[in-house]
Amino acid sequence: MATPQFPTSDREADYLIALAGNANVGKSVIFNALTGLNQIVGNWPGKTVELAEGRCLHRGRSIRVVDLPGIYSLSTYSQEELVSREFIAEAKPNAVVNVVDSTVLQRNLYFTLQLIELGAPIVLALNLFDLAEKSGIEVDERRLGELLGVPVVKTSGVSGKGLTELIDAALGVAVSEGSAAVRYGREVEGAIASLERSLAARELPPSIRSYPLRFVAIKLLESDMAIGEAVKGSVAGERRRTASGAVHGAAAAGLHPSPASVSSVAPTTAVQDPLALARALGRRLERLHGHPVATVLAAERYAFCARAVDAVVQTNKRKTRSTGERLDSFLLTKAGGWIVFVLGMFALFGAVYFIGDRLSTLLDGLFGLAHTAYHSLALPPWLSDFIWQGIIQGVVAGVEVALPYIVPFYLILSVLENSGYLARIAFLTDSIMHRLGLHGKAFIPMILGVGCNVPAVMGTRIMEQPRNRLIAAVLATIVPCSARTVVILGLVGVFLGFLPAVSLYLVSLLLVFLVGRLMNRLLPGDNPGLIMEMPKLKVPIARITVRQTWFRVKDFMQFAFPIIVVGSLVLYLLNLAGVLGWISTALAPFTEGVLGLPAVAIIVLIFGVFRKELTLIMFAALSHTMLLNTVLSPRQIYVFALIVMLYVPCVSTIAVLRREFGGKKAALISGAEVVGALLLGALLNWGWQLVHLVG
Amino acid sequence: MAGSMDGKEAMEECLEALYRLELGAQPLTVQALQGNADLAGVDIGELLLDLLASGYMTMDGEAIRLSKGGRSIGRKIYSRHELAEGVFRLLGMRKARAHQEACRIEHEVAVDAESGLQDEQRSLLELFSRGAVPLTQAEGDTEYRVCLISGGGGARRRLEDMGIAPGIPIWLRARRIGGPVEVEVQGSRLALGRGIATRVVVMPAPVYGRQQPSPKAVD
Repeated sequence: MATPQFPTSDREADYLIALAGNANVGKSVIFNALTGLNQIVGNWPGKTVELAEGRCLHRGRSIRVVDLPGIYSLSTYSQEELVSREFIAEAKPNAVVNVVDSTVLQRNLYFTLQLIELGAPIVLALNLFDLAEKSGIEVDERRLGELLGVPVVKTSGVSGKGLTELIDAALGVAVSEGSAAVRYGREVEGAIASLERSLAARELPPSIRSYPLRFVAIKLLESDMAIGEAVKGSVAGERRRTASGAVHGAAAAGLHPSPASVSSVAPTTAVQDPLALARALGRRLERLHGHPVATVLAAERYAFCARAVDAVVQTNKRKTRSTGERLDSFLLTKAGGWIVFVLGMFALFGAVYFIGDRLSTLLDGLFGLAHTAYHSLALPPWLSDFIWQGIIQGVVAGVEVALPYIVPFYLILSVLENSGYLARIAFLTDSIMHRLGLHGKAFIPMILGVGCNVPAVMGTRIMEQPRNRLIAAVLATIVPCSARTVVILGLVGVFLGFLPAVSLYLVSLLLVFLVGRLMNRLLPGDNPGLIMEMPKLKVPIARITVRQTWFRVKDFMQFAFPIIVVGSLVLYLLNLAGVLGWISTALAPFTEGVLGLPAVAIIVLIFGVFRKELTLIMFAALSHTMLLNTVLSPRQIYVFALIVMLYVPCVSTIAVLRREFGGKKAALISGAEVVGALLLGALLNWGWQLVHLVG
Repeated sequence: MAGSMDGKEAMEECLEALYRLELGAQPLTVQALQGNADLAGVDIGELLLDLLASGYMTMDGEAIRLSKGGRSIGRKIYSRHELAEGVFRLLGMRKARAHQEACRIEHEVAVDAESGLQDEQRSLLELFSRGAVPLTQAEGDTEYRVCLISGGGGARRRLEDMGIAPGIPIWLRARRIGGPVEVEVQGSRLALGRGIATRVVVMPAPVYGRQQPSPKAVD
């Protein structure tokens, strides 16, 4: 995400429309309604990190629609904000549709004002207006349009109401020049005007030439890093030119003030260094208002929003609390919240494993039939073997083992997410996560990790800082995923009993905690703390849930299946070449002596890097019996399961770690987890034998 | 933390401890200093020699007496400490932690009458004396107004972007002891971690309405 990927320009489409707005305003629902493209709709911010693009046909015209990430501001504190800002300024969409939540109009308008500062050609979509009217909020959209100087349309993304009018308005606005209606307090406007004059007198570098001067001036006052750097570039450039006696001449050189002399802010500021001027003006505003200058500007914007809302919104307040609100306050109490949480998690995983087990058995039968049919084909044995074991079995394993668990998991997760419950879990677990150097939001990737570590690692994008993302990702890879659960339940659960299986989960929980504490201690930097919008609790819409699940499963398959298939092919070839037998013999002293496992276990472990869920079956195949307790002692079963649970997640997870954090960190994490798992396995083995000897 | 004290800090800490003993009308003895947790890890004997040599105190057998200069330094450090500890306590820090932080900050040159830190502490104390509280200590379901967000950086900007800015009405809707809070602001609900929430200083709406802050904005 370091370099924003702008959709390529397209000659055929005559219009480009960008959708912009806060998170949780139904922006993606509108996007889907307009374009029909599959796209995630969710409740937590920062998920639509990549720009999604689609196309819609409107009155015979082809229109490109780009869905910008859900953000709250246009400063540069996050990649999403920076990408959105650059897209609007540089890709120059013909219209920016600002989707706002009519039930939270005042807060949403804050972002609208920043879009207006940016000089974007805006259409305001008063989304969820039906919901607002139901809760007694009436918005006078014509009056709001006058106040802001932009067209306003009432929309409802879910029912599709108002979308045609919205696009009509967007096509109409495409020629306008933005709004001049929004102005702030006198002192602030004075400062902005002085800065604009100073900026106008100088040649700005191309990187910010596409921004309006008013926007640059405001960002300079707010000491925005990116804009400040760009303007500094212009200053240096001009100094060089004056030094060489060229273009801009002696006037600029003579009047170039030293930063110290700017303390009195004269009205004739046109030739002053904009950065020094911005600092001086900023200091004056700070003295005047008693707040940092960025806060002063925020307060000015909110004051405008409050005036606008006063003028256009009629609220017929219902005094009774809705069912959702009562449920919400119950979910956030200590006792109620935890009871619902624990029951909910049990229900979630119970359902996942119940459904998954049924599906898995069903698919197993089907593939068994397919296998028989396959063998009746008259293929030469070497080719038959190659195709089946090398290629098809990889796909089969994915479909048979991963999908039955992952599909119901994603389905339930999507329900939790779209109902707004995930945010309540984040709130509930915030104190615990703080001990790991994280905050409540990090619990979401942990839950994802129980399904599969790959989406869990991707899900760490919701963390604000690289440090916290890394901690969350490492912890997520320690969480036993559904594949590892297959081994824990199938091996320890079946042969040793329920409690030993539970003890393995407790071990991984303990490790999550210890590793979190350790990383929090060792990694430099602070935990930024939780700041999260709590979406309203609502009944999720089936259509959106199904679509989101499909999108995620597709994503998972596209990412993981090629790796699984190639991996099993490589292993098949290695096996054919006799490398595996050689490895097993060579490492036997370690496997048998240190880990106390049969020599074949090491091959199973190597295979397990590709498909952990298959380690069980493979062990059985190599031992020529399904009753593993006849070939393994309880100690060996437990040690083996412990190592499988802890050592390096799997090849797909390593790949996603590499994509998100780079090869070095991925290698480091995987290496540390392999060493850690083998070490713990060896310690457990020795300890167990020691106790046995003594006992 | 005593281990990281330099000579000057150790002397100041010692003079502060002696001043506290004087205030409490307790005997100023070497034993009392040795039992002081703030001076743990410091070589008391050497420290006393330094103090004697600098003329900040005199000794009569076991009994210590502060000189005028010594007492004035002790008083200065003591008042800085109390100010800092008071602010930290009001910001929701636990007592032991607030004391420790105050010990650290009292020696820093930055804590002087004309410094910015002192300014912020004073304005915080003034706000608190008028009834403001950190968000974590606000009462549930009562209207407050945001006064200021202490500390700087990205967290403040994010809070402002999400609706928590000076003058904005705010309600505390849920609070977990030692954990996060949920607030309602501008029609939306936000969850704030405890560390963040202690930095948001709010005032009950009726009081806020009565006395508009920012007296400097009159000109």
